[in-house]
Amino acid sequence: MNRWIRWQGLVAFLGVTISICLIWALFVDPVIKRIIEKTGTKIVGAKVELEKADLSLFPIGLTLFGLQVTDPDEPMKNAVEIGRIAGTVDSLQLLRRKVIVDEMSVEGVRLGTQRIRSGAISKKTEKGGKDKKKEAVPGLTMMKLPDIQDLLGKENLQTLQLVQSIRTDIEGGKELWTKNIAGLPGKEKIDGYRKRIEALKGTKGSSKNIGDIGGILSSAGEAQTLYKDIQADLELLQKSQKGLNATLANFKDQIAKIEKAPQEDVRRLSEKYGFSAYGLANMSRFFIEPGITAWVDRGLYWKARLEPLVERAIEKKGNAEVIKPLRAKGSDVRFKEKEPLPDFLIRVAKVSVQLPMGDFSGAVKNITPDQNILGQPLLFAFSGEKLSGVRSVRLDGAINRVSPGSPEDSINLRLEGYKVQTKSISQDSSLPLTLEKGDADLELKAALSKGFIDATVAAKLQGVRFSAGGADAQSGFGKAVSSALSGVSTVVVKAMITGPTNNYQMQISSNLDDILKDAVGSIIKDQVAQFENKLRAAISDRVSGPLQEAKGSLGGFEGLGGEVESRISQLTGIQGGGVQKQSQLGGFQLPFKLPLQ
Amino acid sequence: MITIIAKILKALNSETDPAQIGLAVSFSLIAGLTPTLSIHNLVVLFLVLILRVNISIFIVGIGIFSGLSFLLDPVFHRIGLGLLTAGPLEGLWTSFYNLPLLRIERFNNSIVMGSLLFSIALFVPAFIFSMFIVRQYREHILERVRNTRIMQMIMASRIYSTYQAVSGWGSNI
Repeated sequence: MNRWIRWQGLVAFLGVTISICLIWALFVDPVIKRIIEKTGTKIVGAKVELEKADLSLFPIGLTLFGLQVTDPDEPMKNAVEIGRIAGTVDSLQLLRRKVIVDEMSVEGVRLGTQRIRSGAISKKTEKGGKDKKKEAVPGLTMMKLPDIQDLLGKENLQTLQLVQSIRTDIEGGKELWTKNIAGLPGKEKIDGYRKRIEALKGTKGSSKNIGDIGGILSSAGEAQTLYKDIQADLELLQKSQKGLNATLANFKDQIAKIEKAPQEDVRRLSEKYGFSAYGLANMSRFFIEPGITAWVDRGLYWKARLEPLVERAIEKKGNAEVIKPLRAKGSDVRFKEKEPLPDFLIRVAKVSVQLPMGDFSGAVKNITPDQNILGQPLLFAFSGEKLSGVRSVRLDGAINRVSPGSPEDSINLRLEGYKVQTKSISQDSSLPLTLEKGDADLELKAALSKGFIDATVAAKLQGVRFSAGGADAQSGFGKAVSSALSGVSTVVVKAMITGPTNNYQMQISSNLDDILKDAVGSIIKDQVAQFENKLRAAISDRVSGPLQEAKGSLGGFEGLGGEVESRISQLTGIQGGGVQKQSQLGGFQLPFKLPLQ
Repeated sequence: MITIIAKILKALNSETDPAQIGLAVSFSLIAGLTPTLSIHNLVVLFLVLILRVNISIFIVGIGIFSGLSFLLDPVFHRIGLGLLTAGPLEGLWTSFYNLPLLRIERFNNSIVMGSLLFSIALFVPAFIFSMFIVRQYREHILERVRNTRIMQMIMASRIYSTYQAVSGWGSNI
């Protein structure tokens, strides 16, 4: 027995095990801190820092202190700073490798706090939805004509693209027809026919007895074959001529259409840069849309960033699910459980947010990346009453991944009695507009389903006062806008946002539309006409050269057409005069009519 | 490091039972190829310490097989995933999945499953092969190696003096 067993090894094993436990107890807190910082930084795309992590064993629980999540867009600011996060873990479930937290408290949440050091990370990480920004609304730049050359430098003209395309087509067509024509009966074949005719004529004058019936029939047969050969080639050439003419006509037709295309470019660019009838009828969007767009983009950006926390990649193989873990190697395969539970779940997180206007508290339920197992979506609800500057605010919503194939998110925000003070609504240097004061009621309802957004924003501002500054506020457009807005006391805005998240459309209507249209409509109309004329002239200038070149390259087709025409006339000449009629080739005439004639 | 090399030389050249060396290689195969922080490796450690297994060879083996595991991970992933998603075994894995001890073992991870099965399959062949190699070495090569110039130089070096120093140790460790 002792040959194979060494009993002192048992002591060594206990020693090694106890040492591992001691090392784990000593280093687990810094390791957890490091894991949270590293994973958080990867998800957010900017530094996530933690002051301290404390893991307790009896009961098993984790407390985090001083969590700072940098705002990726402003690295000197924290998007969120949390004083303390504490929760206890269900130890029985931990044996099943499941982290289940029944209740977690998140205290001292503050938003937009200043950082001492920059939280930017050197490695540029993917920014998700935020990079896919919609094209900016031009804002009040519509009161000044943009530099046409700059504008054309930035934009791709459809007319130029069409010209390039037709030129390529013409060159391709020419190449094709040159090859086709080279394959058609040409000089060699025509000469061959002439020689055959000569040979037939020679038969007549040869020693062969033409009076011999057999000789006559033989010559007639050869003449008939020759006629058929010429006729076949002639038909081939005529068919090709028809095709060539059709191609040429098609190109000419396309060029004629391209000549009208600049008007389409003018219309498109006018609309894009706000110089359109729609722009004139919806002038309020120039003030309102940038703000809403920024909100929507920010919301979508954070949604994309936090997506891995509520959903993970799952591949179904039979009844088993193959799960790609956030970290670690390999894939975890999940099987049916007797009591199904997610691998990670925080049933309730009670959150207290400290805003400048006061405390805003609420709860987030069912935080898990495995909602399909839990069968319940993530829900959140926050509210605040009698805050400084706001009578009441309520925010609730759901992130539903219960059916991973049909993700559905929703958010509702209701803000009452929000006192607006000195809010800039246009940063245009020539006409900066500021909403000096007003009482706002706002209601937002948004739903996001399978990558499509459907949202409505309704806002009513009462007792508003606008102020306009800048050089342009003293004259023309600026003066008209400034004067119109000075008489406004109530603003009602309704916005509808619909479409795919990377290219959503926004429709905004407001009582400001009519007010502004009345005030500056005529000024804008002049600007639109001026802009369109200049744009049309500049586009024509750019397009005329390439278009002339395209037209010029059609000349090559005429050369090809001439070549085919010449071959046809030569063959017609041979056919008409050489065989049946008297011609310059000879004067051979059959003594009887051919049956085909 | 020098001490470890000396111990390996001693194990190979001394009267250490080839089975002890073979077991050390086989156990290091499991501990080295599978993810280190696994419950089964605690069992392997227990067995290595309680059985008269050559620890120096075990430590060096872990180093070698751990390096090898980086290259073999994709293979282990495929083997593991293939087994875990095989229809006929689904019932077995499902019952394992509901046992807390096996959940801690992370048997349902493709790399854990692939590497563990791979190393267990090679356990006996590695044991027999190692014993065979040690015996062949001692019978046919050892004397010739001792007479080579390099070995003569080594025998004059620090490694050899360390080897001599440890040669007085119990032959089981």
